[in-house]
Amino acid sequence: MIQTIGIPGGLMIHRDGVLWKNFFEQLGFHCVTSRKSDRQILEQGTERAVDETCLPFKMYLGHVMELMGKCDAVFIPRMGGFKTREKMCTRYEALPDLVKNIFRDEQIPVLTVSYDWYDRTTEEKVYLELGDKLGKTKKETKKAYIFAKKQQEAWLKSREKAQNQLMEKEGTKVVLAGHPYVLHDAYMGGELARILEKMGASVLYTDYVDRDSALKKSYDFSRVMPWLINREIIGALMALRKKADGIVLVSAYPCGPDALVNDMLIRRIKDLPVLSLTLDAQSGTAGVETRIESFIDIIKYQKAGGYGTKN
Amino acid sequence: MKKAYLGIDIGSISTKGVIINEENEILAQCYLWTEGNPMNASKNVLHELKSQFDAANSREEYKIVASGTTGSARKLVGSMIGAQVVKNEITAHAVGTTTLHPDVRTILEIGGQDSKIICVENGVAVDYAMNTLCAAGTGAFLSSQAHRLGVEVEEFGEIALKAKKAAPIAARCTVFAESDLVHKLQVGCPKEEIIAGLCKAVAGNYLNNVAKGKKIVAPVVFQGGVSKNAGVVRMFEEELGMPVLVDENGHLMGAFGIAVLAKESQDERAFSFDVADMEFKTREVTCGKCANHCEIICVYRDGMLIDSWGNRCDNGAIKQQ
Amino acid sequence: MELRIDNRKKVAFPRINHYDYAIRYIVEQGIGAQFILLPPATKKTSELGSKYSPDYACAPFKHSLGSLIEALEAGAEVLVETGGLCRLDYYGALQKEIIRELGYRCDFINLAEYMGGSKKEWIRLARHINPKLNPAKLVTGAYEGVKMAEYMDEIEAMYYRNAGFEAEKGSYKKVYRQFLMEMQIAESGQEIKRGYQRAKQALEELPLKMPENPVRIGVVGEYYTIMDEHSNQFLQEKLINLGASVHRFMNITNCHFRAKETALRPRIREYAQYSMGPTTTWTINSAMDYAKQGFDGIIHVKSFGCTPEMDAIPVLQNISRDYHIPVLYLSYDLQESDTGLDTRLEAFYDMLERKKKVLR
Repeated sequence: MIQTIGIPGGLMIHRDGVLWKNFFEQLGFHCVTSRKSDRQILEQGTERAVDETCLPFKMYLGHVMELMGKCDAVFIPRMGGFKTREKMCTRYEALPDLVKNIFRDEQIPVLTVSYDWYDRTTEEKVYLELGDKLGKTKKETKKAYIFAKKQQEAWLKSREKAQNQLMEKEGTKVVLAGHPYVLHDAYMGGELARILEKMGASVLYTDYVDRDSALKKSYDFSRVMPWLINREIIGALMALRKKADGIVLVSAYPCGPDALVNDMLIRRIKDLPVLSLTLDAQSGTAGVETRIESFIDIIKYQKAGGYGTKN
Repeated sequence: MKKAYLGIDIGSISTKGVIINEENEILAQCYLWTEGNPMNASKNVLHELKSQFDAANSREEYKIVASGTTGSARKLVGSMIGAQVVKNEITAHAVGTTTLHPDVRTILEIGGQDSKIICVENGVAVDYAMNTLCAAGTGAFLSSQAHRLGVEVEEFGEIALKAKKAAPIAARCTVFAESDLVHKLQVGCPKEEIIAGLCKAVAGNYLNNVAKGKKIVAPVVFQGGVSKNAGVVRMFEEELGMPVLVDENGHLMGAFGIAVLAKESQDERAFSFDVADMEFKTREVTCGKCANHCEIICVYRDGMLIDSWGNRCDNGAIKQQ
Repeated sequence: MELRIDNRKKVAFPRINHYDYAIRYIVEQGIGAQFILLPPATKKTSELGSKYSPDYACAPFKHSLGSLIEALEAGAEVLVETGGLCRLDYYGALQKEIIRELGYRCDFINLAEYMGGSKKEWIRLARHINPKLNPAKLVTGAYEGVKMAEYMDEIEAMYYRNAGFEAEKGSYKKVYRQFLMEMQIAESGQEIKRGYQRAKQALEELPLKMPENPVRIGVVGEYYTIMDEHSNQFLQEKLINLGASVHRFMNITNCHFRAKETALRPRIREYAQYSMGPTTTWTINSAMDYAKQGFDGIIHVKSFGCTPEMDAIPVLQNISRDYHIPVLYLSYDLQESDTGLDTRLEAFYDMLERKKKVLR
């Protein structure tokens, strides 16, 4: 019997976590989330991951390990994407099977939803299936889904609103552009916001915007780009750039989609200073700090009319 | 006359040679630096082996009937001495170690440039893995860090054992490890803790990287240059929770293994120490027959071309004179 | 005397092993354009590709960009890049941008834009390349080109299975090369078929010195790197030279025309419940097949940073444990020399051979 569901505090929890948690709780389950990312979580995840895999995935494995013995099942969604041009990185297709193979000896019970773009399904449908798997009626599940979706939207709306207010303020504004699970992870992108704010810059996030309109805008940038999250990032950038003084592209090493898309972005964005950062497994924020500092200096000089003038 | 077999292991840093008899007993052995000149080093090894052999009057008792070479310059020295067996060092090490330690189940090895793990069942290697990317966590990495700390790398083991705890240092990549190291120095972390941290990083990196997905079963033998570092040995024992054996002849294992392989080949031809006094030259030719521009190595003995290699296609094949 | 000027458009496609010949056939016989058939890739191809590619792009991206630039230098007017799964779907968009920035003027067709489109759109695209297109010829040309790819797959599989044991050195290679040469210049379905039959018969008749228990190695892994010899540094050729019988399930025929992912997946149920990525099901399925058939070893091939194949590794590790079969993992970027690979392969082969001798 599943009573407690564990939600690993990595990857898409930073985008869809509110939905997941509310959905399960509405259905009467107890949810536990692993603690915020830290070095130890990363280290234990790294121990089990294939060396070449990306930093956020290593972190995710660490979070899964944190939940062992603390829940009856771990929720590991398999998200392929809902549309051909709005897919996820292929790692998300592998996620539940991947975790099961890596922790085969530990026999972790995995709970999942699964969808692919070729299934022609919807989010509501897959969550209805999940409710069915958990032994809930269609009516209960539907109610829980609608409630959870509303909570999720309200959560995003409040962040969007706060960000819109920030945008109207005076001063240097920098967009942090990247996958939500890199930007908001305490051990990865979390540091960057702190550094930027310390230097007096306001931080705008690419995931605190209206997702649908960002997605729609992204098609002006590329009709063929296959990835949902990169589309959301690009759509948001196109909306935020008008108010921003600079863009920091944040990627975690090695990210397949970012490797190509960020290269394209750097080629295309000519009117704003862009700093491209690739985060590796190290705690060494010293190097990053220096680079951000000089980037902010450049922005300030430019605002003041070029080098040599007072800022 | 009894039969004997010669094995030479020419690595990038050191060159090793042994002569064994049919019972796999070592009759003569030699270890010296390659100093960037594998041909000279091999000649010196041969001279040394010959004088040990002569001193024991073994030349009257034994006849060398087969020879083998291994290590990075195996091909060159192989064609120089006319070896019957020219094999890579992984095979040679596996054969050597399993011959001396028939019960071994896992061989860990960290050398100057690369590291590997060999899993053994019933005395035969059944699985192996090698480091894939860079030299992080190998001997070269330790040497460069020793240089940075102003300590001789040979002292590392001893210093590391003195430390109360190991400073956390990541060895995934040399660049990152260096920045960790600089940071630790700046915050006044004691040197021995940093060195212990480096040793731990090497062991951790190895287990995380090279040995990932492999089951490490005792008895474990640890070889390669880094095995002389007691600090790393201890870290391995701590991480694995089992004793880790370091053979005092570990450095000869490649040469020993290739000698065993020469014996097994049953391809017998009298070997003469005279080659140690012949003149060998190599020449690199850049093939211009396609855009690959292969570097072809030609070996000459007393002015005669005896071997060549390095061409990717037949266009670059060089005819022997 | 009649002077004939070839005013067909010059079309190029990134190299992918000898499939170039089938593509050439479709372009020339089906569409009626001229195909720029590039000579085999060299170090220069890789250098060009990596020079202009993002650092962390996968190796196939770099190889195909190198090919496209070489094709432009050889006079190509129309470049075609395909779409597909994973990052391949974005290759065209970014390569087009890079090539434009380099200042080349050419027509760039990104097939990713047409995938899932109607037949009418595809015909319109073909007409764009050749306004005098004959749709009936296009259908036959495409069919015969695909047939050629299938024949090449079959002959190639025979070659790598047996060439390591040929009684007369070089005899297998001679037939294989002759066959590839015929495919390279074939101008009709009949020529393709005749070349295939001739090669098949010749190979079947060649005497072999097959030992009772040859070392059998199965190669699994990522679509492009595993098929493209230049990308995998002639891995299979190296293995047959060591004396192994080499099997590879992954090829165009098996991937696109024979084995459907949904059909294969139930076979790997004990390891994966879902599709784990573009070619992961093929990788796991063939690794399992090789293990079950008592192969001596498996080699897993991928380009560095290839996400889906990376995710197959934990599964392969489990298969290796369950069936006691060693797996050698190779991750390719654009390598400078063959030395590292040679050592690994030799050691792997030696290990399999010794294990066989002692443990039998």
